[in-house]
Amino acid sequence: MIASTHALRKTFGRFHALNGVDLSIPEGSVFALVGTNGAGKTTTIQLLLNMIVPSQGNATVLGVDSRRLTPAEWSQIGYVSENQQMPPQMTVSSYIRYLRPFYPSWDQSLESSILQQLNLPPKRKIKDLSHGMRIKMALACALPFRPKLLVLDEPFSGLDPLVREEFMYGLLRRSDQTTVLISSHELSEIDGLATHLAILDRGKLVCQQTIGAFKARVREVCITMDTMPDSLPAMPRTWIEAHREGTKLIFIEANYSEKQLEAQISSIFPGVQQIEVHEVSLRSAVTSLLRSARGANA
Amino acid sequence: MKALLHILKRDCVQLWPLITLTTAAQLANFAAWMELGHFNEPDLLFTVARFLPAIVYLAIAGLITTVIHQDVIPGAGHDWLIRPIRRGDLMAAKLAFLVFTVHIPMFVLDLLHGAAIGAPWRQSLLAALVHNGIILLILDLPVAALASMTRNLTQVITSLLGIWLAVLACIVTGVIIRHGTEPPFVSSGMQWMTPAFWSIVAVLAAVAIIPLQYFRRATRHARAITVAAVLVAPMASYSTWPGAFAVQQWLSPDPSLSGSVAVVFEPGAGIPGNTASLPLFVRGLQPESLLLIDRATIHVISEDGKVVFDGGTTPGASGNNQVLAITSGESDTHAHQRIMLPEAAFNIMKATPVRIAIQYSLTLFRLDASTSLSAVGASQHSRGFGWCKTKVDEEGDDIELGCLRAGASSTCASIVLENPANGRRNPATVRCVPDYAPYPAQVYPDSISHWGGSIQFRDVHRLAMYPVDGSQLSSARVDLKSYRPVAHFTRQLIIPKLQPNDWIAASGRHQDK
Repeated sequence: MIASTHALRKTFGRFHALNGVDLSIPEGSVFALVGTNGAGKTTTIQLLLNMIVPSQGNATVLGVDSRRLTPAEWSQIGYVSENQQMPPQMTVSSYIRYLRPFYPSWDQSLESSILQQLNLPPKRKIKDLSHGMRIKMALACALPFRPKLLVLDEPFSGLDPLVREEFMYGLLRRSDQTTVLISSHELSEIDGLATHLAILDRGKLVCQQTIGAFKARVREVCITMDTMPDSLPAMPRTWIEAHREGTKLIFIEANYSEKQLEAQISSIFPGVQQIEVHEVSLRSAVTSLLRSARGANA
Repeated sequence: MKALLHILKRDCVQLWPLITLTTAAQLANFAAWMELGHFNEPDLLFTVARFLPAIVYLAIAGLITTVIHQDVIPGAGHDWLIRPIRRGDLMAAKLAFLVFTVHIPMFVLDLLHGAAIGAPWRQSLLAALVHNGIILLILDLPVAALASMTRNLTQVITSLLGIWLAVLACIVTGVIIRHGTEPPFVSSGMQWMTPAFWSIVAVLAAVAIIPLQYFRRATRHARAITVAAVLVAPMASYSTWPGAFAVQQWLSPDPSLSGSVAVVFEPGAGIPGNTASLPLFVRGLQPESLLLIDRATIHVISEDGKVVFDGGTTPGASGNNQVLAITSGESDTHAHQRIMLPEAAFNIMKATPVRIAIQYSLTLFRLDASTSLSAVGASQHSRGFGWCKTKVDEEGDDIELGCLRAGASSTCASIVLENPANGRRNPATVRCVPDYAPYPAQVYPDSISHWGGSIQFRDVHRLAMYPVDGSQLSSARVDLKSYRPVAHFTRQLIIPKLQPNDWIAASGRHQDK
């Protein structure tokens, strides 16, 4: 694991931002940390990168306790955040020039090509950059040293579609040998990019698995029956958002297994005519799972 | 080291306008005081120049705040936090910045100023080191500590306002507790203790906060230290005279010199027409000594045991009231203790015998340096006084004396106008604004002290005639003697039965007022 957390807790006064989170981020993965606003994504990242101190538990990055990260580790970690505060009075080029000597592996030709691709104005002061430009600037400062771990905290927030496209393009092209930890609530943006997924909700970890396993786990199921009963019988907790459309019952199965599903349907609805199972988008899968988790907690 | 220099270079490049401004303020201060010379002329420049040191210190504080805020410590979003920058390098770079942009120019200007007034290079060097050291400790470090706990200038100003209000509240509380009086030693030679205590607290807090912030980013703890320091600092104003004087005694450079000093009552030696003057005799002083009263608490009790007067004198910094005795070649001398009495007490003492007990807090001074220079047109260097000049003032009744010295100047000196040709001497003027600080502090306006005074030789109202008058100025000389405190000690004087005729009651009490 390139990074992990163990029973990580963080409280701000009486507010529990994180409540015993155990994460394991495999090396080489594109690990998506998703959740609604306030789920604890940024707090998790800030704890991993020693920006804030955990109330309990610990985090490990590149094999080192995050509280004891040294320049040797930092020179292998890239970080991009919508909240990143770079020196406002410095120009794009002067700040990059300032950062260069701190990274032994800084590749100046890579830096040039990134700057060219991201189309950043070298002489403009950071304070005069637009939000999108600042995210690009952060990316330009995070990639030229070929980080082993690239942490992206809500990188798409406030970016227009064109910039997002450029960002994704830039990211995908250059993250071949880099583990990427990306936090976002823009699920469509990470679909097709992430290899692993962890869902946080209200400071708790809801699930954590490969994107393939996660997608395979959630299906939309449509049952066609001869006659629809007036009242629906009790259904398994993994069937969520169930609703009727004529003689059809449609729901999301949050823990899909073909054999188990057929057996369950047969026992609950003996007169089933047809069972259709569809794949769902990542967005639908995550939102359904979150609703399921919240329903279970309620 | 490489990273330190890299950060330092970045800060210098980024903040060059502020660095230039701060250096320009220092240059302006240097140039103005150079131009003012010995006699602080012209007046307009003097008026402006008096504010320049404050502008310099304000500019330094602004520069320090800005350089610390280049890499803000509180908060979680700052970019430097995720860069391979050693915290120690960052902190060292900021301190190096202070030395490089503030203290090297200050040090060079101090040396230049010292050279310009012809001060010995060692004296200039020491004065420059002391000046820079004090500014570093009492200005740079506390400001850097405050900046390290804040995110922007607004927060710094708000914090300063909060600190000022808290300190003010503590001081006002102290004044209320003392029923409206100021702290006991505020106008004495021990007044250095209050700023020194504040400075020590500020330096200790800063020395704790700066590494705490850079290595641990423990802003909450750092702010708790600040609050504690703000509450502790004004405590100096709650201390008592005996406690403070005991500290001062402990700091006496040569306490053994006071061992033989005795203050005794000398009946019948009162000066007619000055009823509030108690005749005394001081013995055991060495030649060329000066004995200063820091405080005298006086108890007057009538024969029937009633308290007639219970008060004291804490002489102000002005005037010569606190000089009890001054010796030249002799070791014993007559002295007088002035006592300001209420009308009722005065009447009792005129009529009946009383018991008087005086508890003295005294400071013994020894001759530090002496020199003699022409009364008019002198321009002379001497070890103790530096470069001194004399001239007759515009009114033509005083000789103006101005001395420039690298480092602190004497706080107690006697000035006499004499004519060696005929041996006449005008009465000595003792200028004593005692400062018993155990360190040679000279920070205002820079490392060069400006000392001087005026010596009257003609009364414009023609009411008094001086032995050495205007007609003798061409051959007259100004004798200067400076004294340094060597011992602080207490003495008790008890007069068991003071008869009314031991001092001569007349209308002098009102004259004394």
